[in-house]
Amino acid sequence: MTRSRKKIRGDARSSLKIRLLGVSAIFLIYWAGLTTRLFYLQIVKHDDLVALSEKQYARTAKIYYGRGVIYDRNQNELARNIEMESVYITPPEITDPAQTARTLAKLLQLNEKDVSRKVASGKHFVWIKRKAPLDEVERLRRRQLAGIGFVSEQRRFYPKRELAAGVLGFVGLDNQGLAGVEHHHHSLLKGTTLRRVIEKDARGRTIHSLDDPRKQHSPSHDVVLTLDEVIQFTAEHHLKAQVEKYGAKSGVAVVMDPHSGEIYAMANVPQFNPNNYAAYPPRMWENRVVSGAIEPGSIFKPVVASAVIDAGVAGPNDIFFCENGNFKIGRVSIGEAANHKFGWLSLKAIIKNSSNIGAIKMAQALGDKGLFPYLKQFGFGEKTGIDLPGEASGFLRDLPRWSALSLASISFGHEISATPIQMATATSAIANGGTFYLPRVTRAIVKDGKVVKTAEKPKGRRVISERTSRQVIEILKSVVKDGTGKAAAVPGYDTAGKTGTAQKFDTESQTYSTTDYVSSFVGFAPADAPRIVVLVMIDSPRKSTWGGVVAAPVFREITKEVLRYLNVPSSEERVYIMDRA
Amino acid sequence: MAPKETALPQMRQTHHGSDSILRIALALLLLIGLVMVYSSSAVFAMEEYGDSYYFLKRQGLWCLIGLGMLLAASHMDYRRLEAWTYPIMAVCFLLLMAVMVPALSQEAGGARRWLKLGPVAFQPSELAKFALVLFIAKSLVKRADQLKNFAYGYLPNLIVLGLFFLPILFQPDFGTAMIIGAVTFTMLFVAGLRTKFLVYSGLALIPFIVSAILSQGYRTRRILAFLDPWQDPSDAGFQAIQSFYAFGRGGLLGVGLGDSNQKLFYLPEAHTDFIFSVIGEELGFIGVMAITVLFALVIWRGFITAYRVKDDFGTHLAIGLTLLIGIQAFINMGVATGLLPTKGLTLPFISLGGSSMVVSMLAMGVLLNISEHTATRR
Repeated sequence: MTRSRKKIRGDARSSLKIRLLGVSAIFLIYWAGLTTRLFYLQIVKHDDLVALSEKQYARTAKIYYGRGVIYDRNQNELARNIEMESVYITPPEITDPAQTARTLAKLLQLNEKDVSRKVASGKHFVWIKRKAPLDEVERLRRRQLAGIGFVSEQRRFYPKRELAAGVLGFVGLDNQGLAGVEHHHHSLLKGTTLRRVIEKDARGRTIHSLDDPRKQHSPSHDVVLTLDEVIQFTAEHHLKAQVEKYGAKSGVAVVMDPHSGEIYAMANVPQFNPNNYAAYPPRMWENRVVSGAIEPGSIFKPVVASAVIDAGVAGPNDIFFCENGNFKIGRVSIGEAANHKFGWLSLKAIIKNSSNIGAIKMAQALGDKGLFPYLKQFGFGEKTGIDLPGEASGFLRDLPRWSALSLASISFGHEISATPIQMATATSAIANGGTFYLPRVTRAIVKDGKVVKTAEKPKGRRVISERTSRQVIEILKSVVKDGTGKAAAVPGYDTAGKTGTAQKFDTESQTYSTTDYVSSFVGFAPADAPRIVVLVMIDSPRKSTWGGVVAAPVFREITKEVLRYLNVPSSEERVYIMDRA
Repeated sequence: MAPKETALPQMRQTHHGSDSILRIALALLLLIGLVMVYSSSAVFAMEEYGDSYYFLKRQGLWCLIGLGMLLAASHMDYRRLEAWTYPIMAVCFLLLMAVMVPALSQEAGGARRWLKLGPVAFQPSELAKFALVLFIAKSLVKRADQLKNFAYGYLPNLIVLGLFFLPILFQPDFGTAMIIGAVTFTMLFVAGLRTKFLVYSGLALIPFIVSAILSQGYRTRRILAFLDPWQDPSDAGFQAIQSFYAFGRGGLLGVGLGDSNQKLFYLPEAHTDFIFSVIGEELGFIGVMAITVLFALVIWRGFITAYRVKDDFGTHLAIGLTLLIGIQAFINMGVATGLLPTKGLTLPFISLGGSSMVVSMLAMGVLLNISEHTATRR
């Protein structure tokens, strides 16, 4: 390096230093400006900005759009949205407060006093009516009054009213699925939430969307259920008629496909209209098919018989001594319904006549250690896992905690509680050849008309052998043919099933009620190749309490109509077809 | 290159660790960034993706990749970059061209800025900033004797700037284009370019900028909204007002971490362009002052490094990289507080964004490496 180059370098360095200092000074000045600005916004204007922002939060409306549709299995709409209009006012713009209040109250059917108060409130923004019908609003819009504004919204609508309300559930004011499928599939169904601030400024009203404009308005998923609205209607219709006829408190019914666990119908009576759910007491919103665990009573006996036969302890024709209607276990004396006095009965006859003592005897032959695993396999004491909210697990005492009386009580359906869906699913396992399938109400998830997800047939678990299943089916056929369930016989079809008449346990007095019974029937048809399992439970009927009298006819009517609807050939028709072949 | 280092004892170069103040400032910024990205995005992420950690996970990953970049760059002698300048520029230019091909790029909000690379999207304009700084630094060394000459000292830099500036402007990414322009001119100015050239260039650019603003309706609106956000009915004014609310609500000490109300869908881009406002609301005046001080530290240490390094390429590179971070950070903060009109720029190290994070960390890695080569004057 020469001396002169060094000098140039040195000059360049000092010039660099000066210029770098210059740039730093600009940064410093900018930094000072920034600090001042921050100080102004955060310290000086703190109170003003807090007040303004709070005001804005009060004027923020969430608007829900495009919640998914719920269909039955044949694409009939069970829940959809209808367009509504919400009306708000900006009081300072209203020229004739009295007249405006009167018009609003009249056209929107509101209390004029309330409206007047809102008009005179002096606020910048007040909702007058959320989600009003379009025609109502249209009349108002045509008046072109100053200071009135409109925002489009959607409301959930259940076109079939009460139909399947317990399964569908309903949606709250803020689009939250509050019960049923609406709750279970909320995240799929929920649609889009749009947030809007209604801003008032010098140029007039503007509605700002708070949502990222880049965000696509993505359509929601739709849900296709396994329910069939015709079967659902049939079940509700007959159940309701019988509940009313017998002055009962309530009733439930389930219709399901025993080979897949798909639910065709799930009925609750009394019904409620989900379009106006708030008008009904909350207990009526419940879907007791999944949430109501009760002592099943005699309809539980086929489960016990299945276990006894499957374990090889006794066959249908093995006989048990029924103690002539009076059997003592310790200090407890157990009798038969209607004071029957049975002597020796075959296992088949025990079920056919619904002998309690016989049921105890056969359960004792199997023993508690033998019975308990079967009860678990049949799904008792735990939730079935159905795709609905609020499922109860029922109650099954752990084996080590069984008392001397437990085995006896459980053998005829007491000291154990089960939900209707558990009973229907367990009966399905008997009917379908011995496999337990997870019950379910969702058939498919659809988006943009394309199926996104189909509910696969669950794998199922074997509970009893096919041979056992056939033997128990034979026994249950005899119940309908010449046992307690004659009223369940469906003309033209082999029918199998079991009656139940359970005393209700009164939790207050800690004793069994002598007046309140649950009358039930669970069965299936055609017996040898079941297409449907139907369960009917009627709570506290008045004129009669017998399951064979109160519940069995409902079973018959539902089964008759559903088999016809499903085009299931009757026994005669089947013979005819075989002849042709 | 390594033997050369030992062959220059007369430069009194001492070998020591990288600048520790710079390292600490960067670490703090990154840490605050991760916390604030989570805080500002959690609710939005929960609603959109059903996972409140959705953005934090992404940002954490980018942060790790960025740290890898930073470590790699800080352990590699920066002087080797001089030889790599042209290849890096060529690649970068090709990437910028590729963004214009619809099949290769991704459009969002009417702008084509992202290159699709499988599951991730990359913004070539971020890399362009780095490449351009590299070029200008090299060019300033090469043309050290001709800086007073318009045709040889000034024009080549201007042409290369244009090659990067125009494709970015047409993406459109007005913010990034402005940044690379500002960084280039400041680098030239500090290097000793005739101030006259810069002033004339500035004057020549005015009609160009004005037409760019007027040609795009949203830019005009943004300017008008900037001048008086409270009178502006469009979303641009709305955005500014929401940002003011956020700062105002914060007060001196903030509403507390995680407790911002404004980020709940009122403040658009709360986890990206307007994350500074969320910091203002949650951590208050004290919190945002800390951020400005940390960035000021980065600039101060960057300039000190540039001044002390006894190698012209290192000097210019250090200045350029420092300006890259400093100018962008201060513009972002200016936008959030309403000192400048709204434009889409992220806050380096803090805002959500992978490309920006990785390139910023790369730049700081190089700066840290340069700081190892400084000579203390005493």
